[in-house]
Amino acid sequence: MTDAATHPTAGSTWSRIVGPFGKSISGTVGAILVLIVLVFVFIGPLVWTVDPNAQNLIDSFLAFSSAHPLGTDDQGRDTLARMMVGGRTSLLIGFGSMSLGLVLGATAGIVAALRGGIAETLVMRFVDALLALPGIVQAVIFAAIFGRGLGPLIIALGIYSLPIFARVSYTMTRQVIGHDYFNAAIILGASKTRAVFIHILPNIATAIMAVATLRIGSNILTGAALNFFGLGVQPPSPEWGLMIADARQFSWQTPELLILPGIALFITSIGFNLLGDGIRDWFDPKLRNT
Amino acid sequence: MLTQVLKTLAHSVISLFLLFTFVFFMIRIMPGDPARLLGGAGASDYDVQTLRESLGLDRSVMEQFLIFVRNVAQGDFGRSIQTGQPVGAEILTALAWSFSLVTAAMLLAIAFAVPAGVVAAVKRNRLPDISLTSIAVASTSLPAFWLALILIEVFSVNLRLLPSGGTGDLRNYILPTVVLAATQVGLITRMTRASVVEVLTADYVRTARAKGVHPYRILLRHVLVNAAAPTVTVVGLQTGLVLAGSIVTETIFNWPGVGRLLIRAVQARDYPMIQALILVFGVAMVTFNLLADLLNMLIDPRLRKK
Repeated sequence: MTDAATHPTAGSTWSRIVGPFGKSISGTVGAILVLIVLVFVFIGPLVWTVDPNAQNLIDSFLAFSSAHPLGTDDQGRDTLARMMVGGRTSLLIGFGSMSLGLVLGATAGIVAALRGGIAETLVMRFVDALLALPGIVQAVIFAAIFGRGLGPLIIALGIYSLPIFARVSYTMTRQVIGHDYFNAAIILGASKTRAVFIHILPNIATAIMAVATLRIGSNILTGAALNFFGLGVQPPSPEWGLMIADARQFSWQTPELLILPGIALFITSIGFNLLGDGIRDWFDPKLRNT
Repeated sequence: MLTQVLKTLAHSVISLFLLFTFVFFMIRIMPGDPARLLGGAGASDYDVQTLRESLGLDRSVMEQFLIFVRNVAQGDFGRSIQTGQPVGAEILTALAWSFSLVTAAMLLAIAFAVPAGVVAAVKRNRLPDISLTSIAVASTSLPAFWLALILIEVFSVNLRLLPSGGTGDLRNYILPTVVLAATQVGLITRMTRASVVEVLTADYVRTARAKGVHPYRILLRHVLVNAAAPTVTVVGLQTGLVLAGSIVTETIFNWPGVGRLLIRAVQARDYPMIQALILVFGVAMVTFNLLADLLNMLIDPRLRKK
């Protein structure tokens, strides 16, 4: 046993700053991976300013070089630039659809738990109904309903994320409502708005945040798969799933075009998965293994 | 427990009906007209209108819904807009293909994940646990369509060892089975690990240890039996999910199952096919949930009495 472990308040300044974050190795690894991806995708294009869509057929299928660190594709477009900008699209899909699902789902879940009655029955029946379908089937059908392109894809994946947020916030809100402190607040005359913002949201935030982080990762993967099948973002806008689809026909010639975007997707997804687990461990050990 | 199972079943039927109604109306607002897609680019407006009438698509959506419910009650799911064949027959053939692939994949996943989960739990926080848990996380984070393409690239294109798709002999099963199993290994490993860890810290396990029972006997007689329920539930749930989740794998490997059928139906706006598939996927989920519940009752006598 080290000093820091036996005396939680002791330890270096560093461990005091890092606090609970240091305790979860996987969470820390996840945070670092996500940070690397964010820097690559958002800071990268500011440093490497090559146009990701500039075609130059003479330069097609170039190998790694100083002019093109990751080579070029069939149309002579710079792979490094496309990886960076493509990652922006992937992250936008993951983050945008998660946020949409969170806002709609959490609102529905909290309202259902607070109001009870018909609102509760309607919302939870609808959520059950959606969850009766496997995720990817929902995603494919919603993508077909909303049509192609970035916006429709984010809406489709957002609605597909709604049930999980609704269910988590419903369950957590019900738990808060069951506590004495909540009843005391209501008896003392707290308004519904106050109850939601002071008592419910802070208490359910951790669980929601963990689910949200995991959801970004899985939505990026699902989004990439839909793009790969031509049901989402359309070419020529670079996106990792689309780049994999493009690379498929030249894979015998330039396997790196197939491998690189896949590795990027893989790292991003691992990062968000580990970070999501970490958030759960850091802030609420009770939720572990649930 | 039995009343609980029946209650869940009744619940699921209501959920399914709601889901189905929702999808029925939603797919009719999707962009794209099946009659025009079927007629092709050269069809005149008159032809398209005739097609629409023959498909019953000129009626109001409400009317279409009532007709469909009446037909389904008589066991008629309609005819595919793409092929004109009865939807039911096509789905049955595809289901057989999907089932064989999913069974192979789930068996492979269980064969790896359950021992892995048990080992990780017994050696928890040590090297075997850390490496197995890492594999589990990696497996859930892997883009399945990419893994499929890489495996095809290595084993079909470069090494010329395995077919890249289609069905023929048993060798055609290998790549799609591995891809599908890889997506399931993570969840089953983590679930097994979690439930074994929970049982390992239970009082009766400590008592057995104190009595001097052999560690392997404790593991087999006490731990594994008690830790089985959550794993069985997850495997049941996942089998229902994978049946449809094999969309990606089936499409890439050109496997004639229900997943590929759905992608094609969505692309052709084949309403009868989409509707019937949604029902099939929903029913499959409910059935596998139910099977998992019943299997748990077999394993755990406490559940039978309740």
